[in-house]
Amino acid sequence: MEDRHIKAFKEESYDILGELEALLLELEENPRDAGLIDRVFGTMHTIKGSGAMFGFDAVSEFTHEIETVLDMVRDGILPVTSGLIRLTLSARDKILEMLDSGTQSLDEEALAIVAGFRKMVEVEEPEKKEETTAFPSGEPAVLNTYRILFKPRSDIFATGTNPLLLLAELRAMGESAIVVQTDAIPLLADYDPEACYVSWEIVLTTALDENAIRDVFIFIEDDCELIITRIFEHDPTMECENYRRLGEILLDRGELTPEVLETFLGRHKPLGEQLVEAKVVLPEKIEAALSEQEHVRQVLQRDRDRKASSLRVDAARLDSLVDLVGELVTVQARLSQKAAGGNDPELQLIAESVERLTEELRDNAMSIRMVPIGTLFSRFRRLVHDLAGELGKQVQIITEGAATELDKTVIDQLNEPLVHIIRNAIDHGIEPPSQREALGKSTKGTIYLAAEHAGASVVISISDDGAGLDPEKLKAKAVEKGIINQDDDLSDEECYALILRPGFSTSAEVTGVSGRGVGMDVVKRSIDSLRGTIGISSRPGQGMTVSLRLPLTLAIIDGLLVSIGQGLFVIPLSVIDECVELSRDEAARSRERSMMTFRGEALPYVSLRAALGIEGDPPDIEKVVLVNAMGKKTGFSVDQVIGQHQTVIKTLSRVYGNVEGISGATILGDGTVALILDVNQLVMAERSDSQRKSQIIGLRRAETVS
Amino acid sequence: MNDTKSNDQRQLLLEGELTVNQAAILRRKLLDALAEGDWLEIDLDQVTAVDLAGLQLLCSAHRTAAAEGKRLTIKNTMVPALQEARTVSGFIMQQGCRFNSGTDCFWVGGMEQ
Repeated sequence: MEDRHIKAFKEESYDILGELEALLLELEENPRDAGLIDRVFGTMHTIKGSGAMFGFDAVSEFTHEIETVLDMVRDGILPVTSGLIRLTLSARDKILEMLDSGTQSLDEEALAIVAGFRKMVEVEEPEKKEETTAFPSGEPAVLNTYRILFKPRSDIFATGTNPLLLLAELRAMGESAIVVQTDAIPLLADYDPEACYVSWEIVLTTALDENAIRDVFIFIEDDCELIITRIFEHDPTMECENYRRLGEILLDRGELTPEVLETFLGRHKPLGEQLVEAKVVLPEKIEAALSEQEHVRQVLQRDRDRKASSLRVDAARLDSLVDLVGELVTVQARLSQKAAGGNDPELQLIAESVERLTEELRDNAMSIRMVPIGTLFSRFRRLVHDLAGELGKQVQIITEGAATELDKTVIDQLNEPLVHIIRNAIDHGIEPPSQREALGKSTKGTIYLAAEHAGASVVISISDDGAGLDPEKLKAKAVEKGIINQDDDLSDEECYALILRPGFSTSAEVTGVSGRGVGMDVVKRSIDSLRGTIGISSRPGQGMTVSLRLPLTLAIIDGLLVSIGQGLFVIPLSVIDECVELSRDEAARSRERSMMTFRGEALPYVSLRAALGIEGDPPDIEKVVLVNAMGKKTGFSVDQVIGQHQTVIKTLSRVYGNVEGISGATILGDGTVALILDVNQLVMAERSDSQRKSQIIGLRRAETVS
Repeated sequence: MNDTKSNDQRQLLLEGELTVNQAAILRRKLLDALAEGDWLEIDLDQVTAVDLAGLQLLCSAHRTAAAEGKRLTIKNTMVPALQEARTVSGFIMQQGCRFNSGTDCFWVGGMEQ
């Protein structure tokens, strides 16, 4: 039980710390944004409060120090400086570390950070104010809601005490609702200009105890009437209940007797209105009771929201759910097959229903795993900030499409490749400020990170406005490394793609930032394993763009089942345009020229039978599946098109992992295995093949001419 | 001298501080202005600071007007000084008081969100 709460607290804290980081980085850019400062303060405050509640006293103590400084920033006493941001960022990292280790004491590093914060305060304010709202560290705190009646004596103004400052102090202790009671204010004729006529009804939800509240009023103890009642103990583990009704609150407050209340119940008009009209209760008292009701309702609602609107689930449980759905899809396919083969209309009806339900269940299960990519993007702000500082460069990061959703597994595996690409861009791409200025660029470089949906994939592009890639340099390097031959003729694009080859690194010296012994080939491998593709474009002197095209999900796709000879294959439905038939003659012509004509258009034609090395003759009438891959239409010839098939992707074992043209396998309803075709790879192979062929043809021509 | 007349409505332009230090003077001003007609409008446009005493006074004037069957309205309630004072002192209501109902009360609504 205990552990679960601590775990939940930790997870929540990670979220908050993530948010804090983003806020701080934003604040660095807009140091005068009061709203941001408030939010930064708010996150620290939350961590402090809940840290103490769950026994992370060191965290609470540590955070308290930071909060003190942030409070001064909020009050405009301290300015937002890059030093402050840096220190707060390192404090944030420290809190994360302390949460992980569960330490109960502050280590040297933490003390150094605290000292740093203290120094900042001393510089600005030699005589440090006495802490009035010290947080009781040590004992775990629970949120309580208090009802406070505060009635200063009428001569309070004369004592020099400003009751409003006391209210402000109460506000700082937690969430509050403060309602003034004005009934004692007399008419002007009887008005004493020196007198205070009002009192306050306050509802305060705080982690502090009653004594701390009394302490606020300690200096005017004898000059005021103060009644504090605890009305509500807030227990985060408790199931939420609805708070009392207005009548009950008024009874509780002693504004009404049960007998009087009885006479007003059961009528149509709202109770409050009736009571005011009958002059039984003052409107201000109704006001106070209503605000108490609203306040507690909000506190409860927040709890409920936290519980109901989102639910933290172990990712492994989700994975097993998706696995089960996958199995179900397979069995459902088998049922449909069986039903379609038999002659039982009722069974067919049931099979159809099961198919529809399974499809919905599948989509549902998949959507649970979808996470906005923004969670990933926000981490890079910090990376860019730190790296730029380390390398003495000025870099800003602009993100777009943070709401784009991707499968959690994909996102998890994307972090490393993206970090690598961004590091490269800052290290090798973006020039130092002086150089940029000389080139007439803004001294601040920009990393542009964008994500967008494109059909069944998501395209993530990482651009910079740095130096860009030099194809000649890349080529020379590749020749030197023995990756290509001197006389290989490469297009610019092929040159860019060289950086993805193993053993290729453009940086002359190894830097601590991007040259950590791994090159872009690692990125390529990660993206490959995600069934994604990498494209690189560049304009010398203006920067480069790496675009990653990734499938939305790794688990299930809609596919078209086809057969070639005895073999069954699945082509992802998302890339298929249409299916056509070719007669034997047409097919033979197409095979010879590797081209087919379709609606008067000449398209590349790939005989899958040949490409996959399947023996035997094609049937008289050949089916051609037209796919849209690598930005171009290509025809793939198959023997038979069997039909649409929900495909649960099973990865191939390591031995077959890098077979070109095959991206995975799936099990059909009857237990047979079908291979999933990697259309992009097949098209690419075909292109280089036809290039080679045309080169050969060109050579032959040259020979005959000479 | 800051006062202008339009039909039966009298205008009273208050300037500077609406605070305890000015309370005696303000009280006099309000009493005089109220005595002069049936409808007084207080213009807060030039007000720079408001404290608890200032809010109390406005309340008191409103009650006085109600007791005498007169009208008292406020113009330019959005001046920051007033809004700030209302927020910190809890002068934000839905109900009004026993002298002025919710629809008339100065402290019902009128807050910038």
